[in-house]
Amino acid sequence: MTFLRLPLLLACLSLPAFAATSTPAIPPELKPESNPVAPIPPSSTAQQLYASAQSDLLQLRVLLKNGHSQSAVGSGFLIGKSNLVITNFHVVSQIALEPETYFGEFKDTQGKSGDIELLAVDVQHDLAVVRVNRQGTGVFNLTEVPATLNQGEHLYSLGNPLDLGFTISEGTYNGVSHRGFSDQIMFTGPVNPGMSGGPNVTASGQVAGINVAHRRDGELVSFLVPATFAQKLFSGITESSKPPADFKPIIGEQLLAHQALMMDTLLATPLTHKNLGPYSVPVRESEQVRCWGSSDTKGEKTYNTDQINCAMESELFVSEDLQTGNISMNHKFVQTDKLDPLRFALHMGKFFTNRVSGNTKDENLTTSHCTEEFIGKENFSSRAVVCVESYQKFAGLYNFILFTSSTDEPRMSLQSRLIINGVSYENGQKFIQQFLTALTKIKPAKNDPAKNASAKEEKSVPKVASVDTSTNNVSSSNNKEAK
Amino acid sequence: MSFFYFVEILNPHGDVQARHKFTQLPVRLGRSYSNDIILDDYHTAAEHAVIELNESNDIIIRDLGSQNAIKVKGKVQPIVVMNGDTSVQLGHTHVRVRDSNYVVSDEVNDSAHSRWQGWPMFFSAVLMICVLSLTTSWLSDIANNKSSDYIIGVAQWLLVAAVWSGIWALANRAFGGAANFTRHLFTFSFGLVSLTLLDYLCMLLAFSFSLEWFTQYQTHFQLAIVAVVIYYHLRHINVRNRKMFKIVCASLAIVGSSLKLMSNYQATNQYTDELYMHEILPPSFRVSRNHSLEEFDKSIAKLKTDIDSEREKALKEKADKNSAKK
Repeated sequence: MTFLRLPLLLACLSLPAFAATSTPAIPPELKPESNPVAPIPPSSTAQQLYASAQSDLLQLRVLLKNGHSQSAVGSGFLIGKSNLVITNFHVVSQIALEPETYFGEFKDTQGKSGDIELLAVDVQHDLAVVRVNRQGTGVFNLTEVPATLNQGEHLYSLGNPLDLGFTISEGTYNGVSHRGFSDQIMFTGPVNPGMSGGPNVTASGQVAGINVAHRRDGELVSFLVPATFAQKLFSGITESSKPPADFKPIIGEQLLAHQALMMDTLLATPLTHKNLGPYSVPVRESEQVRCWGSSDTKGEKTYNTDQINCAMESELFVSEDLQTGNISMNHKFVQTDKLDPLRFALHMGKFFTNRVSGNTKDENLTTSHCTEEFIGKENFSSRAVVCVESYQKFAGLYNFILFTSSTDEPRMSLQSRLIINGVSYENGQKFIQQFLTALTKIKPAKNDPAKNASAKEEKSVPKVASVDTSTNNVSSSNNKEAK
Repeated sequence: MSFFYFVEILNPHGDVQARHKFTQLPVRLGRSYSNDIILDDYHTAAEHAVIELNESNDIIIRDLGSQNAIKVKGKVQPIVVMNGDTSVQLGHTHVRVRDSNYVVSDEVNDSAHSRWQGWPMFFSAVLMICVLSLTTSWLSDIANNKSSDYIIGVAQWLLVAAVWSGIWALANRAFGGAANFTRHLFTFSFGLVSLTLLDYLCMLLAFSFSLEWFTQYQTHFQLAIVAVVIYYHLRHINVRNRKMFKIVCASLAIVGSSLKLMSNYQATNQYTDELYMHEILPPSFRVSRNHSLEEFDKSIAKLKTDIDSEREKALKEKADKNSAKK
C-alpha cells in the first residue's frame, strides 16, 4: 500500500484510522464540548487561548451524499471576521475530486453545524479554503509578515483529534524542516488524526501554522504548514469568490508546477557517485532524498549482496489512494565466487521479475507500457527496462520506473531501479537519461570479492527505525527460497 | 472361390460384436426363433426385418412391419440399401452387411517399432524424466547442493509421470483394448522434455538475439506442444480416428491460445504474457549488438505516444460507462 510507504501520517481522520478507534459512533450531542481533555496538562496560557479561540474553531467533515455517513474528519478555523475557513487540502480532497459523491459539513464548538463550500486548493502546501454560513469573530488573523518564532518557543495546536472533541495541545517550535519541497514547521507536540487543518498559534495568539502531519515512527514529531502559505492562498479569495466548476484541472496544474520545482531541485547538481564492486552508481543525496545502505553476507549463502536505497521522505497527497511527487532509487550489487555463471544469471533473473504489473482496474492510473533494450557503453553493458503509466485524472503527469541489470560480468550483477512518480514526460525522460549515463564501471573486474570492500562503506550509515519500508521489501526478496 | 455375405452386429461405437456368415440371401432378423439371426433386444419385433437382394442386385434391408422400424442415423426408412458401410439400427441393435467383395481400408502403418517397445522404451522414458529433473534441480540450486533435494525432485517427477500415464493407460484399456502404459509414459516424458527445452530455447533466443517476443508469447508455443502430446496419447488409444484427433487437438490449442491472449489483454491491455522479459543469462550468451543510450532514449520518447493513447482509451471507456449509467 503506497499510503504506508512514508512514515508521515497526515493528521486527517479518515475511515481506516477511524475504524481503529474504539468509539466510532459518538452521537454529536454527547460530545465533550466545554471541557476538552488535552494530552498535556494545559497551562494558563492554553486556557486563555482556548477560551478566546473556541468561537472560531470548526470541525470539518466530508460525508457521502448517499447515506450521509462521514468519510473524513478534520479541523479548520475562521479567518478574521470573514466567512472563510482555512483547512488542509487532504481533509477536503474528496470534495475536490469527486463532488458528485461527497459533500462537506462543519460543526463548531457549540455543536452547531452547516454546509461548507470549497473555494480554493493548494495541493503543494496541503491547504484549502472553504466558505461557511457564519462569520468569524476575528480571533485568527493571517498577516503578511509571519510571526517570528524562536526555537523552544511554546506553540499551541487546536483541533478535534480522533473526533473525540475540541482540544488544545501545547508543544514547542523546533525550526523548519526542508525534507519536502516546501518548508514545514517542526512542532514538538501532539498532532493527532482529526486535528488536520486546525490552527497552531503562539502564546500571544498569532497564527504560526496549520496542523498537517506527524511522524509515526517518532514521538510528538509533528509538522505545520507555515502560515505564510495560507496567507498567500487566502489573499487571492474574497468572501464572494465563485468556486471553480471543476478542481481537477487546477490540481493538475499545481501538480505539474510542483514536479517542475522538484525536478529542478533534484537535477540542479550532478548526481553523486557511490562504488559498488567494480561499478559506479548514481545516487541523489540531498535534503529531500535520504540514502541508506545494507549488506547481506551470511556465511551459508553462495552469494553476497550490498544495497543502497535512496528515497524521498515526502510526497504529495492527492487522495487516499493517490500520493505522488516522489522519487526513489535502489542499487543492488550481488556477487558470487561459489556459483557458476549460468545458475547465477538465472537466479538474478528471478530478482528481475514482477517489477511492474499492468493493472487495468486502477481508477487513478493507466496500465503500464514498457520498452526494453540491451544497452552498452564503453566497458559496461546492461539490460534496461522503462515502464510508464499516466494519470487518468491529470493530463501530462506520468509515473516512471527504470530497472536495469548488468550483463557484463559473469559472476557479478548490479541491478538498479529508479522510480519517479508524478512528473512530466520530459522530466522523467531526462532523469532516466542522467541516471543511465551515470551508471558506469570504474575498472575491469578482477573476480576477487575481497577487493570490493568499498561497497561496505554504506553500511556504516546508521539505520533508523524502519524509515523506508521499500528497503525491507527488497531485502526480503533476498532471503530467497532454497529449493 | 466361394461367395459369402457377412451380417455384423455392432456396438454403438461401431465395433463388431458378432459376425454371421451366410452363403445366400435372404436372411431374416428378429427376436423369434424362426429367424436366421436372433436378436436379444426387447426393442425389436419377433419378425423385424429381412436382408435380401433387389432387382439391381444390391443388398437391401426391408422392414417387416415392426413397431420401431429401421433407422439410419435416427431416421426411419422402410427399405435401406446396405453398401457395406451403412449401419442401420433395429431397436437398439446396430447392423451392418458386407459381402466378400467388400474392399477393406489400407493397412495402417505400424509406427511403433516392435523391438523398441517394451523395456527399452520404458527405460528411456524413465531416463528422460530423471535427466530432466536433475538438470532443472541443478539449475535452480543456488544453495549448497543437497543430494536429498535432487532425489526428491526425481521421485516427484516419476510419480507425476506414473499417474499421468496411468490415467491414459486406463482409458486405453477401456476404449482400445490394451493398456499401452509404456507408450503413454514415453509420450509424456518426451512432451516434458520438449516443454523444458522450449523454455530454455525461448530464453536463449530472447536473451542472445534480443528477440524478447519469444518469452512474451511463450505460452502459445507451450500450448502447441501440449496439444501434440495429447494427440499422441489419443492416437495410442484409437488408431482409426487420427484425422479427427488432429482437428480436436489443433482446436484445443487454438482455443487455449485465444483464452490466454484474452486474459492477458483483460489484465494489462496488452497481449503479451509479461510486460517485459525478466530472464537473464550469463554475459557470454549475448550475440546481438547492444544499443546506445541515445537509441534507448529514442524508444523511451516513442513510448509517450503509447501511454498517451492508453490514457485516452481509459478516459473514453470511463465516459462510455458513465453515459451508459445515465
